[in-house]
Amino acid sequence: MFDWARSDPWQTDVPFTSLDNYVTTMAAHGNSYPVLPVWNSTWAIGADTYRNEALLYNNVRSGWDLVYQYDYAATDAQQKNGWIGSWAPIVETFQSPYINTNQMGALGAQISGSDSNGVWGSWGLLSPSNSYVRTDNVGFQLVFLDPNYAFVVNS
Amino acid sequence: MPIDRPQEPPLVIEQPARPSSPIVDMRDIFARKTPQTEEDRAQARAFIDGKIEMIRRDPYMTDAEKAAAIADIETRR
Repeated sequence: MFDWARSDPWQTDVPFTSLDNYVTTMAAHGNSYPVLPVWNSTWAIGADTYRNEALLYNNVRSGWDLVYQYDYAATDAQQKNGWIGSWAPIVETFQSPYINTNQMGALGAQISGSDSNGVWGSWGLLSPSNSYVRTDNVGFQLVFLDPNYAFVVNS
Repeated sequence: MPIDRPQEPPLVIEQPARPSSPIVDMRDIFARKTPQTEEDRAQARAFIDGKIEMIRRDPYMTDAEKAAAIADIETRR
């Protein structure tokens, strides 16, 4: 996990093999994929204080487990103006030598935002109103794309 | 303005028809147990370099927006 709010950004330290309680399966386009349901949020918890949080869905007990949380000083202006980063699921493709990689991507990506009064809106699948499909055509090929909330690539 | 945690996202995975349990704090299990290593720092730099390259190729940002964004990110290397 990479937390942009920190000077030591790599956080959490668990092997993938210890995630058995969290990895489950999901069907898409006729295939069954192993998936790791993730819920991450950033929101204001106080005057000039924000919280980054990440949760994984524990499919054994049917509930979300809080696995990471970090509170940091930031103003609304810092959080909302200028370059605030990018946030949607992505496979970054900067080189071409990938060969025979397993299918990978994201399924069912959703977003919820709050209004100026701090009231959260409903969750909804990513759409062209809040995201765009980026196609670099380097290294991987598209298996399928459900704009803008699901995609799988391989090589 | 302080606000509450967002509501839980609706599950899109196949689950038995039962209500979701309360959130359980598992941070101690997942917390980093060792200090950041030089390899961690190298991986962080590589990750940031990837983000910079992604901005350079962004089809929608203006040159000025790219320059500002890259300058901001480079302070984190």
